[in-house]
Amino acid sequence: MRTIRSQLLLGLVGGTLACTVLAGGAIYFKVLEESNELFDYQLRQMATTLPTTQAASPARRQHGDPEEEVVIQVWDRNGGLKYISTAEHALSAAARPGYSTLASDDDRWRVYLAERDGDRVQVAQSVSAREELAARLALRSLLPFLVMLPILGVLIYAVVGRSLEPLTRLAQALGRRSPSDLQPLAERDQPPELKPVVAAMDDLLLRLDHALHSQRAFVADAAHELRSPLTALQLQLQLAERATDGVQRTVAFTKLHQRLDRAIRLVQQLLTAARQEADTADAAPAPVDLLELARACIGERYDQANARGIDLGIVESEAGRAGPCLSGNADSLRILIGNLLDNALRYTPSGGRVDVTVAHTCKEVVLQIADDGIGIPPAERERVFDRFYRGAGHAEWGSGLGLSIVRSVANAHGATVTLGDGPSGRGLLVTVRFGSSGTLVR
Amino acid sequence: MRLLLIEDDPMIGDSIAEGLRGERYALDWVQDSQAALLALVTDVYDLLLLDLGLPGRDGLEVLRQYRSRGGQAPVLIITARDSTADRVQGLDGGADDYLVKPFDLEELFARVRALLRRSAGRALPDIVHRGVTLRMTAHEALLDGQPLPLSAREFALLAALLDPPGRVMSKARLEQKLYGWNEEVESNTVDVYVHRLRKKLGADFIKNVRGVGYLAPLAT
Repeated sequence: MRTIRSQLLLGLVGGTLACTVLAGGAIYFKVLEESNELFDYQLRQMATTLPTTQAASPARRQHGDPEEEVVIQVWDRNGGLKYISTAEHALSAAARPGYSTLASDDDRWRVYLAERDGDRVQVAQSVSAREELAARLALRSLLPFLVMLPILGVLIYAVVGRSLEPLTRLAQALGRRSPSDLQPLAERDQPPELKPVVAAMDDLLLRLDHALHSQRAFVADAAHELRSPLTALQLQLQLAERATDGVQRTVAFTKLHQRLDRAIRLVQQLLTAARQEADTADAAPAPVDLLELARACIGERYDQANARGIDLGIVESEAGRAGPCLSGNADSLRILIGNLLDNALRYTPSGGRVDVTVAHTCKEVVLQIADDGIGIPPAERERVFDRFYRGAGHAEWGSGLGLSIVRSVANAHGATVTLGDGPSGRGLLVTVRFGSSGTLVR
Repeated sequence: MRLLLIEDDPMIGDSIAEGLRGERYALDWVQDSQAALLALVTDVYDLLLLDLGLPGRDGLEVLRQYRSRGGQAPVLIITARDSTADRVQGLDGGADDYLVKPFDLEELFARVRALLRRSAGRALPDIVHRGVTLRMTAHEALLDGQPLPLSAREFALLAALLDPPGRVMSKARLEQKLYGWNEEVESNTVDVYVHRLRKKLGADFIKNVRGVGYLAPLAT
């Protein structure tokens, strides 16, 4: 790729040169045409007015210019050459009176033949001499342009350089930046041509800054959040070390395992949250049977629910057995349903009930998970989607990421998540609506 | 010594409570700021352990309210917020010490002991009074240089009376110092322990102010 500067230089100087050459050609032909007319007139004048009587005396005019050199020949009525002005250019007589062009050994001649009182007078002029004159004239008129050409080149080079300065400044401004400096360029005095570029770049920087910011916040939050389970782990380990008898030690180790599970779960959720966005973006959407997925998720949690006496199951909707299909990422949706089920199970007391419903209309697919646990106060229902937000008023410990992941998956599928009161007035009803942005297969 | 632990994390709270109870402190544990403020209405605590990241209201707000009500007990902040600004804000907000999670149990105990010692106006870790030495770190008692066997409750009662000595303590107050919420308080229990201590230390070591309570007089 050539630089803009060399492209402009080559284009403009080359173009100018080409135009000059064309103009030279045009001038040459015009001059030739004009001079032909003039010289022809001259030839005729000479042929008709030259005195033929003093033919014996050579009447040669000697000028420097070859185009003014003419060959005059006079033949008598018998065809004998009476007179010739230049002996070395002996031409034959033209076939008929008037203008014609004759060829000699080394040149072509423009001649005029006049018949006067039985004599024939022929005046001839070299065609190449005429052409030389035209060429000389054309060249002379082009000379100033040709002399100007290098100056023009220098000027173009300088002006283009100046015009490209904002671009250079922009490049330097970008080059000086540290990777973390994603502030908008805020370059004023940009030429209008550059403004869209700068605006687009600013927009990109802004989005990049936002993404980087949220990534950093996530990492900071994650590190911060890891402190709590690690603290719990460390404290319990020290308590276990201090245990004096076997019973104490058994209790201490059981608690140690719980705290370790918690730390592991947090790390898993962090990984899920981090992967979630990348996966949803990468994976091509495929048809997913939401009802089948819900059944699988429930199956995985049956033992857990059973152990606590929680009645976990699917409420058959009138939609029938064939589950509604939607287009999406099955792994992500499995995480969505799994997190919602885990929440429902965690916050539902023993002997409680968790119902899953998958219903669909022609416009949307609705997944509902209802429990009769402690529920979430209306004031907190928006905040629980924030990362690492944990509601008050219960002793359960969660990673604070579950619902944040749920929302992230839902957003990637164009679905909405809303929280409401459970059907019995107690507990929580989570509603996920798919289909608002064409994720439905049928 | 009675402590109040304000910590929302059930696992961390459980371990801290277990550890401190193992160190023979009476300890109450609340998990949110509302319960904390309620518990602090009765000013019986010798020390507060406060987590800043509480649900509902911020831990610093609890601290502010406690101090504005005239609460004098030392406050040890236990938190995951470790920036200098957070520490400064906590200490300027009325806290006496700052411990960042994760921390060592031993360090927590040492800081609790140091804060309790300072609030009693002592510079040394041992309480010494009329031939009796209470080693607060090891929970040992000495009488005239000889080991003095004391039960945990006897030790706690003696520490309450001697830190500092010469102060009349009501029976109710002594009970509060000895027992956390979940512990059953038998009737006359303070009288029983005072009786046992008198047997070991001499009748005039602890005096009864009729209708008021008990005190360990400064001199006979």
